[in-house]
Amino acid sequence: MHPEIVLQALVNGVLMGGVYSLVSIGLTLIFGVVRIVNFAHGEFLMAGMYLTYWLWVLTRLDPVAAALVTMPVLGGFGLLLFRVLIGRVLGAPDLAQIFLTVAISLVLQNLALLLFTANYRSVTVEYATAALRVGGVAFSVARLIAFGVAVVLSFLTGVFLTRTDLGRAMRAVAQDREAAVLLGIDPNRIYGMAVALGAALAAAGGSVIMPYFYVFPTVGASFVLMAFIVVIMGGLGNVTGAFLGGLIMGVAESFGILLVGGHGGVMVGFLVLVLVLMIRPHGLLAAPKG
Amino acid sequence: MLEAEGLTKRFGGLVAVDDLTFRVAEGEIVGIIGPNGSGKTTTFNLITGIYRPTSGRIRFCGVDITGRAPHEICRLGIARTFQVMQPFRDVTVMENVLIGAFCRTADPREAREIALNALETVGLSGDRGALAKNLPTAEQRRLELARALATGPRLLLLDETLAGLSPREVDESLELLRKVVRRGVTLVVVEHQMRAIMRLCSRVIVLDYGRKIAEGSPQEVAEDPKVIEAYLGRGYGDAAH
Amino acid sequence: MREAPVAGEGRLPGMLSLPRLLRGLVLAVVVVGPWVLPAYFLHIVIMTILFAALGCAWNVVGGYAGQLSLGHAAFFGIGAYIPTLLQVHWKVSPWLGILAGGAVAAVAAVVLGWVTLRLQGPYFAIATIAFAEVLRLTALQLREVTGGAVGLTIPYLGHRPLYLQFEEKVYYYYVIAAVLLVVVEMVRRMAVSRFGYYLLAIGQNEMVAETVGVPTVATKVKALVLSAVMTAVCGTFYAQYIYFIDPFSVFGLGLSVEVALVAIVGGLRTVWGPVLGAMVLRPLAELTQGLLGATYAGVQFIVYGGVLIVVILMRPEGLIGGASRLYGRLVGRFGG
Repeated sequence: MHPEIVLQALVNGVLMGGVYSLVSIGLTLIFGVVRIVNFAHGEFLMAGMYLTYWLWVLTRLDPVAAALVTMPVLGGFGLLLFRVLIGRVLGAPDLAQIFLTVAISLVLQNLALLLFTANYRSVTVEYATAALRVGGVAFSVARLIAFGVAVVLSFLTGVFLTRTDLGRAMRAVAQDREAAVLLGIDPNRIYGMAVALGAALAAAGGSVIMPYFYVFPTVGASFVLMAFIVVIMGGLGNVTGAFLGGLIMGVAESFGILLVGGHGGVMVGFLVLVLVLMIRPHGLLAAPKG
Repeated sequence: MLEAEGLTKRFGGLVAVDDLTFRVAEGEIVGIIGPNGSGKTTTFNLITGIYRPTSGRIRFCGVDITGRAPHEICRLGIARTFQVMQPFRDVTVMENVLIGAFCRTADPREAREIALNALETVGLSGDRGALAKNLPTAEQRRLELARALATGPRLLLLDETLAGLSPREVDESLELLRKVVRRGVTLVVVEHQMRAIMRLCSRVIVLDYGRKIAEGSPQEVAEDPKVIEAYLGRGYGDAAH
Repeated sequence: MREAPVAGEGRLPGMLSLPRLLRGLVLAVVVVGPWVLPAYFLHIVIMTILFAALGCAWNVVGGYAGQLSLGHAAFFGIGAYIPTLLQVHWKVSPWLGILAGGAVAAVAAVVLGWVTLRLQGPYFAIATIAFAEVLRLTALQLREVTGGAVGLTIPYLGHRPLYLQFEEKVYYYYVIAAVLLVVVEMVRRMAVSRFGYYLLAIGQNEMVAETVGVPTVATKVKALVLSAVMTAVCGTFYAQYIYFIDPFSVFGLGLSVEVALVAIVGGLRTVWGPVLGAMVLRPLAELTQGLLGATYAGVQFIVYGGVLIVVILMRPEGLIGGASRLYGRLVGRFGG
């Protein structure tokens, strides 16, 4: 195989991986803080994409700039979802937690189908096909921008978690709920914030990929499965782990497509997931039982 | 009947059970005592196959059971109860015990008889239709005992079955345990209540930091300076409980 | 308890007549009814029975054993695709195809079981989703064989019972009714057997189940295989009845959720619960789809999701054990 093809696959993988990181950080935050596996996480991304699409259609707002709108909107939606639905099954059996978020996902997906049909929709920005060439390798401008924004947002999330009171409170709740309560932290407020932040990050991911990605009602499904892989690989609630995992999975997927073609990328992802789960049934960084 | 030789279990850097060697003869009632975190429950988990020992051997009736799966060990005749009660919560009392009884037979009718018998023994026949989670503590403890008995054990490991019981309930439980022993079941008892150990056990093993620091009759052990130190060193409260 | 069904047999002769009459009436309706039912309603009945059987099959793993699978579409899809491929490419009768589909599903179940043995709760659910997704993507990828996203159409042969093809819908009704009867009878027998109690113990607490003598690994794999084969048979029926399959409709997550929902709404760990669940949900789905689906795509999934959310929020704890005594008796709940 030509080395340039391999290098190109690597570049594409890393650039896509940045977006996976961003989406996965949102998922891992919800996972780590609220202790809920959010099967509807992909729908936050999907909603962010549709919102971006319509903003572009109606006002020609640049998709990347649209993130400034989609983040607060989906953040608010996440908070609402937590207050009205998710917050009620905390501490309930697995069955209730899993199927509640699955049901939310099902409703949102089909609501999108109902409102926007199954058609693939995309925006056409001027820089859609622009690329920087370094040697034989092309860096798509749209992908570079998406990657850059994703990395910056991931970094800011890290700063938020370590440098602000709210962020520290979030980490405290993630580590030890009871101790956090003793410190005067209201866990329910923190849970709501974590879901809001997670949703906002997924929405941002949706916005920045719009210049080069189609949106359709089930677009979130493939992203959320990738995000599950990343989160399990990186360890529950581990933001750094999710960031690195996102990049790794981006590259793994890119090479999967190169070697198998078409749907090979996601299949490679699942194989990695299965391997990880077989070796560490509770995730890479989770404490082993006994 | 049961022989543990050089039994060791490490969790990362922590040594929970350290080179433990002991024997239990048929018909005995052996107590295992020690301060919190001294490795008592870990020892039970090693014997019943929930943990695999880091090193050492366990033999039961001449068969090496080291590293065997818990269900195989149960079938060989070792049953247990749990320190934190673990009934099957959402099913009935009868079904809890039936599951244990199926360890001895695949025939539902036979299993039913065995289960009824075990419920009779612990005095829970009247509650057999109730959901396990709705029973009060003392009854849940007896339910665990019935489920263990239904598996037809020759050796029964009891992990703090008296915790949380009133003095009268403790007396009843001790009477019940003696009845179990009279039926030919050998007992190993982990217990915090020294008075109960004194009344029940023929021999006591004392653990501290996963090591055996003393062994002998309840009287001998209670007077052993090492034992007194182990308990006093971390406050007598634990032992007096 | 278990004796409940037997208790009815010992009644006085005079009192037997009414139940007997009722039973005869029900039997007559079940056998003759479909002949007079309009085609559209017969279709709803057939789909209801199909999902009842699927729910019962799922219940073995998801209910009794408490392993929350969200990937049963994998087995359904195998059952739909394998016989169809054999028929399209080699003209093999679906009656033989059922066996092949069941065998492949059984192997797939062993593989899935082996991979996911140690996974709990959400991890098991994620792994099963991934498993079904891999199969869906494989079906999409192997375009030359499976037709990819376009799907496969089963050649229409007219009235050929040997090829599981009938002129009249009513014969499909008899086939799927027979499947349901077999599935329900198997689950009923399982529920009162040692195997059923083992599953019950596993669903409650695997570690404790092991210590009271339950071989949890072997039991879980066995349950998964049983459930997978039943589900695959349903998949074969679906393909032959609808005459068309594509990766999304037979391997999709939506199907897995629908199947689980039938058991959850009707009553986990009950013999007849999934049948009742299907009787509530399937007509709802078919009618919303039939009435609104043409204009409003996806509306039945919104209804499904809505029902699921309401059921969960009404009784987040009670889903598993909170069924009332009367309802429990109705659906033959364990120890009710």
